[in-house]
Amino acid sequence: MNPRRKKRLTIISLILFGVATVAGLSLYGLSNFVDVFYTPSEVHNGKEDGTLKPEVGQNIRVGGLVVVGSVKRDPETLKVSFDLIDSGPMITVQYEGILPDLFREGQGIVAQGELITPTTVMASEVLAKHDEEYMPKEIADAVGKHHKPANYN
Amino acid sequence: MWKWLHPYANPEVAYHFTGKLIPWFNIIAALLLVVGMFMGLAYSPADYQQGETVRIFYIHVPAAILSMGLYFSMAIAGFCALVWQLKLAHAAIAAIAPIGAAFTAIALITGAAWGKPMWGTWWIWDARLTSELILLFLYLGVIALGNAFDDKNQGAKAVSVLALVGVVNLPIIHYSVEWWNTLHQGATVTKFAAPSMAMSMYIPFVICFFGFAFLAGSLICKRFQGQVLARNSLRPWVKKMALAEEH
Amino acid sequence: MTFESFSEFLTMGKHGFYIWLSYGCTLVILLALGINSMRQPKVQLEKIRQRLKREQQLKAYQQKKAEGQNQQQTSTDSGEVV
Repeated sequence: MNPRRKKRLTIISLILFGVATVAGLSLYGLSNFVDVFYTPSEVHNGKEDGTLKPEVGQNIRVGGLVVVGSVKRDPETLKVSFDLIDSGPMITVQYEGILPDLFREGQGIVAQGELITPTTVMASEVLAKHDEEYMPKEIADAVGKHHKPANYN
Repeated sequence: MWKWLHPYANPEVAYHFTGKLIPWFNIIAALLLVVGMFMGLAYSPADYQQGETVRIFYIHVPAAILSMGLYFSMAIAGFCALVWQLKLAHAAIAAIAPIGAAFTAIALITGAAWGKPMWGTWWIWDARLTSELILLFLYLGVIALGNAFDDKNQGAKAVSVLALVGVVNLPIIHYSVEWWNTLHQGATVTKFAAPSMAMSMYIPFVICFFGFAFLAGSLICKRFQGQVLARNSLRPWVKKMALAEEH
Repeated sequence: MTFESFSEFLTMGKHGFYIWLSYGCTLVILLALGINSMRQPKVQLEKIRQRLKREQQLKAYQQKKAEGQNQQQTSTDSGEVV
């Protein structure tokens, strides 16, 4: 095999490897992560077709809005519990750790952790999901958007 | 229209035409970027929820839009290359790919730096982030495939096909936030509705966007010139130019 | 202006690190890309010039070789005649 052909062969196999990685990643993404989270009603009822209902003990992500007034903080530790809701029934999230800056009542949250009862998640990670609206504080005040982090004390 | 366009398909004419565009693009890009960056970093207000991190928007969103727009133009070039066997279209693909890859990388990096303080994580495998990462791999694939052949005109067909096929990823990126549950929020400016953004933030964004777009245009023209030279190295006008530059 | 002082501008609330990281990375990537792109036509011309030079040298060498062979041949021819 002459060196030029050899070079081409290695490069093309590298490209094939790259394409395989891409395809693998996309399949990986498609199978498990196209939906990055369940909504609280999906945890209760399963996804639309009813086949994908998470089971107790499964590691899942749940995304929904923090129910106003549901945030309960343990005064001595970093333990916190709150309820998540979308359009249907609620589920409870328990978490120990530092919450993201954007965490507040009414805020969109994605919690990752183990489903310990059919409606309770023991979260190991809590991520904040924000909306696509941007405005300065003055305008937010004027249109009545609440923007203060909740007081949990 | 074809009569009017035809002279531009001549490599020599195209070389000199893009050469004339470059200084103008540079001036416009420099002006817009200086003004836009100043407004974005210092003049525009903080967001009511996200505070100062909204300033990342002025890089992140223009880079993300350009990463997709440039891929689309590259795919069009790929189409022209396949249908009309236009050698200049091959040069255009090779010119656009590195610029598009750079803007995709910028969108991913600034997105991570924005996600960490706001979401609480640098990265999550949600549909938006994953599909944008695949866009980066598509760009890298086009670049690598183009470099795999010693004779530039040889691998041109494969490169065009890859550039064209990858275009299916663009609607996936754009609609990922609507089709699936994602951590990434929906579109702020790229939609058929008023932008969900205060004017005091929208204006710096628009200025930055056009600044980056003209910068991309100028760099693409330069790379295009290089590609035209490399692909026409046997032509007398190129030989003459090469020998004239000798010191 | 939204900032009262320069240090406030640098710290950006408490998110200065992330904002400056974004702007810094963008600057580095665009600078590298810009320099590389601006040099492209020159780099290609240099490559072509090198190739032309090589071709010229090769041509000159072959010509010389051909001439040398011719001379040898003529000298042996004349030898035979004598």
